[in-house]
Amino acid sequence: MRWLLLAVALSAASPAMAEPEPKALAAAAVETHVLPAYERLKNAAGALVEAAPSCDGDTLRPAYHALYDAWMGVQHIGFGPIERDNRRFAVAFWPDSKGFAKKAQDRLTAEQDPVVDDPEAFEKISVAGRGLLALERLLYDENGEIALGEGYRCRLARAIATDLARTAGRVVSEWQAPAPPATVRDLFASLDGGLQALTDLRLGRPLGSFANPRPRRAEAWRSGRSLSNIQLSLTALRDLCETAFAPQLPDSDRDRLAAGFEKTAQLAERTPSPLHEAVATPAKRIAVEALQTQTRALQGLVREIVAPAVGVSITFNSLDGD
Amino acid sequence: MRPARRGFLRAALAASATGALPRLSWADAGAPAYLAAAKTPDGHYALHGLTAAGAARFQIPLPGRGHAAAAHPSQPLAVAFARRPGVFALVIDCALGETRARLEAPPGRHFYGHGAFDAEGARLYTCENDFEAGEGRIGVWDASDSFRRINELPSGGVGPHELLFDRAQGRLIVANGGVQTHPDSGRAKLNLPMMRPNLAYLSPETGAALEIIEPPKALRRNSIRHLSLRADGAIGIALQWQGDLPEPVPLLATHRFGAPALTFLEAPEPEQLRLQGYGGSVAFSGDGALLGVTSPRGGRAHLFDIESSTFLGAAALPDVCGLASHGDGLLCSDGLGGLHRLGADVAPTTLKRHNLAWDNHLVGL
Repeated sequence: MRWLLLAVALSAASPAMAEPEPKALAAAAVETHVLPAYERLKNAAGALVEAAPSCDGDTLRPAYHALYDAWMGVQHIGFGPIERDNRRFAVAFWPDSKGFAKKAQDRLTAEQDPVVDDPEAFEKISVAGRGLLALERLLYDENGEIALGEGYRCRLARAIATDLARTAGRVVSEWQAPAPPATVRDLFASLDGGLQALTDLRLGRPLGSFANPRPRRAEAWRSGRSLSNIQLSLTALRDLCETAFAPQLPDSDRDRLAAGFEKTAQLAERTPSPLHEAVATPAKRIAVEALQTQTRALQGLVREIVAPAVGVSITFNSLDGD
Repeated sequence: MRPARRGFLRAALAASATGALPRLSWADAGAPAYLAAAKTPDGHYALHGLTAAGAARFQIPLPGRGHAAAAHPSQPLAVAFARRPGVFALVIDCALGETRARLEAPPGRHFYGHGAFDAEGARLYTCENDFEAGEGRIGVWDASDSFRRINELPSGGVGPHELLFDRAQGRLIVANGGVQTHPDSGRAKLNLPMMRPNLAYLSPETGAALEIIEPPKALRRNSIRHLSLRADGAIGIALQWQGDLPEPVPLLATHRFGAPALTFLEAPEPEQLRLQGYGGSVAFSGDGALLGVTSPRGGRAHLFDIESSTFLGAAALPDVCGLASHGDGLLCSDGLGGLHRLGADVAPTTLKRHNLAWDNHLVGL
């Protein structure tokens, strides 16, 4: 795809072609936004595998956080190899309101299932028993950090790390293989869906209602990542918007979008952490609600400005089913 | 279809006026494999006939937005329903491209957008709302005699959205959505706290309930909306959740006459949540091995292996809704004009893209 990037650069430099083609921008966004982010995921997963043999929580926890950070840079990308074979859920099985992750882990540890010593077999266990959230359960409980020990739980942590690295490695290598190009619509759906997930899942689920907040529905609350996941996702979504779409917009619209992302980032910055405690504390909850109002408004702004500019319609069946 | 061909068909019919009346067949309409309503870029609506490869065989203008169509088993007749709460339906001759009859809902009734012919094509059954009583009705029309209304049956519930005629068993199968509406309140839902959807098997003669299956209590707000019938009588059901969505809910179920309960199918939670509580269409693959459900809100199609009840995967298809069998796979239509084939590998292949917005349903012939 490198030649496409060159084509964009050339067309941008040529006065005859003032506006880059949406298709070329989609290709450029893959090259500059998608692929490097998956490379970071792969590298972070590799570092986790290197940290795993120690069985030392203090070594593993930073590697876990670095990998989760990298995941937040790609989790909004809703197309390509991550969508194959349930890989997305094998990396991060969330939300999980029915507690499948706990059930899967309890079963493995109760049976001391030797599946953890065989990466190929481990790939076939429930996705809820694999991935970042499964690893989090080994490193944190509801009161914070816990020791990993040198027994079965350590073997399980190694298995999860290896599994994550295999998944990330496959995704990267399949991205390098020839494939149908990403479309403008794929990229728009990733941006729109990522913003919606902030409102509905990452904020909406723990917020619940005023009378009934649901702190444990926050993403990765045990390791205190809920708010930083929102911030990292916002950063990634802004990068996608600026790479794939902003070059096609008039300056005024570009400024409005930039201001919208900026305002959202500021509100996220001001939101009290940890998020799962904030939603259940009336004085702090209001800031979480304000952030949710803003992420919803930001999605509206993106739909208003970006969708028509790149020729993506989001009406008909999806907004008006029967 | 080209006017010349229609002229030829008309002349052929006229020439045979002295002899036995020749019956036109679906072959005279270009032998379409599917019917689908769509909106054109300039805002008009039409009913389209499509081949298995997704090519257009005919397009017939409709006066307004369509929903689904009922296809006659042998003659090239399609009944196109207005969207609910519509009060008319058009019987369209797809070979001649003209309206054969216009069905008017009787006073106090409106259509829901779906209907079905019986095995011989002698009767047409339509889903209707008796909105003063708040009860579902099935209108019965004589399809052999200018579509005169001849009877009305109870639907066995509230809000009958779609019905199928099981030609092998001679039974009507009705998706009673459970949601009560009144045209004075538009599409507003009036009874959500008390709603009780059901799947009803009815006698087509008397309307007697042969079997009524309700979802379990915890899923009473899951409106049973759309149906698909497998050759052996198994039913696929798409549901729409009418409530908050703190937990993911199943939006796909199967049932078999005589079984005590619905069997629900759902994807792993993070994937299931993407459907946003809304199953739009349901269909079995032609070989009956796969069952799919679409969600236009989530832009996803989910595929399951029936035998093992396993989730095979999801296809990302923005604004997808229409779904019908396509060989050993499924055909999906979307609001962006796309027609995509989906096989057991769940990797969609785009067969064709029309400059149209496909409406909610694809009807297989």
